[in-house]
Amino acid sequence: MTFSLAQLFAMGFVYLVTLFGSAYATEKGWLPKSFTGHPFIRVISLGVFAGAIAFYGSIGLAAEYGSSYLLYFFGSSAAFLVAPLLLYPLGRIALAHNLGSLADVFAFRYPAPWVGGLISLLMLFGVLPLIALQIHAVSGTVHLLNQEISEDGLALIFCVTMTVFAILFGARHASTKDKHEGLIVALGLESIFKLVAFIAVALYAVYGVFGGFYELNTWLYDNQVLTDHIVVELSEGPSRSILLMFFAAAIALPHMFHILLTENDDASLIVASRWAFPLYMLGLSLCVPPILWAATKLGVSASPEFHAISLGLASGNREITFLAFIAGFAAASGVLIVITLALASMSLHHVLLPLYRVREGTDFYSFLLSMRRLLIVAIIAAAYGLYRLLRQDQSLISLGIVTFVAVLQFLPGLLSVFYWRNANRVGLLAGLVAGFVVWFLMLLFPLLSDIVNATRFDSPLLFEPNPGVWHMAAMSSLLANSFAFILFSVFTEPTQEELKAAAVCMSDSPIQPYQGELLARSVTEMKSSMDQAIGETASAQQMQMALSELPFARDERRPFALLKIRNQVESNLSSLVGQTIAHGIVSGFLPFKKDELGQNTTESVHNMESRFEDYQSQLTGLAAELDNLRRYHRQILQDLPTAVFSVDTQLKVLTWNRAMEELTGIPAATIVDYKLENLSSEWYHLLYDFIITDSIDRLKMEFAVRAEPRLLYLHKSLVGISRNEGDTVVVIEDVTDEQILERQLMHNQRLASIGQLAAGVAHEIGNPITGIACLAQNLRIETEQPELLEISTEILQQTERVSGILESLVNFAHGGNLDTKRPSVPVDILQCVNEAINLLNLSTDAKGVSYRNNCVSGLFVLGDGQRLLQVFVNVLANARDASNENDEIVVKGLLVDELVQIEITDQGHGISADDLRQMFEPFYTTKDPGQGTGLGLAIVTSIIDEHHGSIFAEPGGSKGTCITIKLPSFDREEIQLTSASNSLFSS
Amino acid sequence: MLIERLITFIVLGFFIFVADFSSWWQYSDLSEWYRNYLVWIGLIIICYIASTRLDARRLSADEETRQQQPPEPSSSEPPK
Repeated sequence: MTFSLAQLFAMGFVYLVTLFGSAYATEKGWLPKSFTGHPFIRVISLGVFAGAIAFYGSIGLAAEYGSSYLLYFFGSSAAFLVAPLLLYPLGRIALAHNLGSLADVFAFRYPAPWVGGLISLLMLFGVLPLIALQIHAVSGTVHLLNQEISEDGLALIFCVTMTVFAILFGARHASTKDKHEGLIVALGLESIFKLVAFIAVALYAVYGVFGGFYELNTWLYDNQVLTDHIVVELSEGPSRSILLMFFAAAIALPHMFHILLTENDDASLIVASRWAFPLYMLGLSLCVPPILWAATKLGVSASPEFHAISLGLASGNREITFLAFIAGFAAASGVLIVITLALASMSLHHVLLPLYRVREGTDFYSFLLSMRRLLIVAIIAAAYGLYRLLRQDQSLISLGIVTFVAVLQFLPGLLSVFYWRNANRVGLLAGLVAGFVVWFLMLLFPLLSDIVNATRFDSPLLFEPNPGVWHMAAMSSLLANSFAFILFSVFTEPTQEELKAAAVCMSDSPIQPYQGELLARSVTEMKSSMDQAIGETASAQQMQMALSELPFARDERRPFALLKIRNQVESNLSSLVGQTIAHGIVSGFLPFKKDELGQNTTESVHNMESRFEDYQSQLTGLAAELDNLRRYHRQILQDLPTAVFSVDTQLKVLTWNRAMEELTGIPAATIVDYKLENLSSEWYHLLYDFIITDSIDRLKMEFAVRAEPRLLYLHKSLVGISRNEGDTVVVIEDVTDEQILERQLMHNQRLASIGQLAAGVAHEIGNPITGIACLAQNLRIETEQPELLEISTEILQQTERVSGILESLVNFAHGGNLDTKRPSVPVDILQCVNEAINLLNLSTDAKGVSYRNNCVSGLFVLGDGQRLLQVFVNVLANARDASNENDEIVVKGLLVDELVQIEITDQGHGISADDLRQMFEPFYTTKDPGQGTGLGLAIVTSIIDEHHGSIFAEPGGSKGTCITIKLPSFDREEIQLTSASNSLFSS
Repeated sequence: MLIERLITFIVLGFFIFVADFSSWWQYSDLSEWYRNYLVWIGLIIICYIASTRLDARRLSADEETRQQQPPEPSSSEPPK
């Protein structure tokens, strides 16, 4: 059974139209986003790994080495099964820093201009046989289907078609940050198709050839010897080598990195791939034995590698043959396209761009795209050239081994990226050179010499190394590589840049080390520097992009923010021009400040804290506990009721706590990390003078805070921790309130002393006065002489006056003690004021003064009615004494904000401002000597204080004085509930 | 973490004893050829369980922290 050229073209055409169509429809948005962006499609696109080796080579392996074919599938799956060892750290670094290829990763970890270029070139040479292998597989299957067709011509058409597809759908954007969704969807569909087709062929083998699983098992049982004797058992060494090679290949091969980390920026897909990829490989590997056994049963004589196609041919089933051919075609084309794209990007970023200087005025983005497309053409052309040299029955596995051993050489370097801090570029170079020299001598040189021989003598190429050679080549090259890598790394010192990069890459170190402080002090200065490197337009675009991805404004000036912007610019540039050039540009044009010794300046505490904040969720174990402790202490400092701030030796503010914010009204965010001179001038002069004056550690001074005079107490202390030697901590206490309280206390103590004195004086004078009064009474009784009677009356009047004064003194002395015998009851203010007015009206000193009580009814306070009556009598009596004849005194009472407010206004001579301040002091009076003791208002104040109220005086309108008393109101509802309805004045 | 150690242990063990496994497969009853895959399926199931969302968060923490709002406001004008 053969297929005509037209049929083969038709088959290929249908497949390619589907491939192109799905990619085009995705790019155009014709397919629903829920389908094109579905995680299943994105994860299954990793099936691109299963190229011609999986589809054809694995059956050849199974035919020759029995169950060892599983090593290919399991080895590659193992890389995903133990993802936390290598894949997750790789994903973390690649996603965080936009690293688009393995060369970028190495260039990031070992910052040197040549690292990326070396990795790219070695990868290019190492992987070229694998690309040629894909072309060879397609031409081989075509040869099987129709031996009259020119395979080379068909291979050329295949290469041209794949080149067009790669350019159209894989090289549309200059930056790797922009993803090619069409390519991913096409590869996802291709992977699904490959798996379905392979399963269909296997099911055909079971049911079509054997008649079912039972028959298959019976045949296996009957033909155990037949299946066993043709198998060569792989010894321990080669098995392990194969396993290791495919383990490394699944991570380091460019097309896997490209799909997993370049065309994907979703970490959850990397996590899902951990089980999805092994499951996919498991599905493929399950199909291998039935196909092999079915071909054995049918006695297929062709190369076992093409049994998937031979099976349909031998059994005469055109549909299965067609399906197998298209599936193999899809597998080969997928690998070819993605490897080419990945290699083109690597070569462009790390080989071409560092060597080629772009002319001024050239559109940089168009230039990048053009160069990438040219490289795609060149790589496929080179692979086609190598394919042309291969013999028709060249074993796919033997050719593939050349690539897999080459890729294995990247494993030591890759492991060291995440697990060895002291690994350096010298060690990497030595290891790669040693490994690739062995690889060259044991695999590439024999392949090339076979090619040369075949060309010179026009003899067929014969490159068929046995498993022993694979093993020797893989292990000796890996050992030489590792030995040289370790030896040179141990005996040479890593650079500071390498140590910093290592700290970032180490999987157990999530916190970015301190980089330094930028020389540029603003975004504008950063852009000006970048203008010189990449031109004004590109520079503006890059700065804009970085700012849009970070929460910073264009006027940003804070050092830590500028550092983040710099890192974002480097990351974005890396996806555009590769890590080597991006690092070179950013290092060269956005340098760090250096101190006198040429070292980076030390990190500010704020910057350090900002970095720690970023990584809080990632800290575990002791680090997390220490971080919690740090946060606790930090919070204590923040919530301290005392204002605290600290400055470094350059007077840059390091910390500024909440109390400091409240005291100064300056938010921490606007001053931390800035120089002290950015404060308002008043605060700056106060703090600056205090900090720089070495002789003063404490200072107490009055300072206007928001125009209000406050008494501040400043302390300062030098920080003694080695890293921050010379920093100054300043504590500011606002002691204004304490000062007022202190004065109040002293005043009260003075009043208490006066009270005690008054009580003593009253007691000591009271007794003789009583005696004098008695004697005067006796004198009045015993004499009838008018002079003596007048004298005795005068004595009695004077003693009565003295007794009155003494009574006032005793009242004042007892003023602070609330009489416990008198319970607090609701007092009706209206009634109380009326009572006071009635009492005063009885006095002979009324002078025709009238009283008007304008208190509203229903005003109640809780207290002692007699004492409150005394208050009103005293205040009204003072008002009367200050009034002129026939004046009117108005008493107004109302409820204001839950307080009963009583205003007593007279029309008298008024009172001066000085007197207003002192009139409530004891023994202060403006009355003539003998007219007043100066204790009335002091007693009033004392009683009002007992009732939790306040009293003050102010000028009363045009003339006179207004005394205002405020007392807490008593709720009316409570009045009804209490038995106090029997009012105070009812008694 | 225990499950991670288990997976690593199994894969490493397989690497060390790969030849013994091959021989076992080679000379066991071919009619039960599919049983080799049972170990593999078991390993995939363990990995599925281990691939919790915590992994995704851990992996993308760098990315997230670069996107998240820092505590400081964006304005950088010093007070005057």
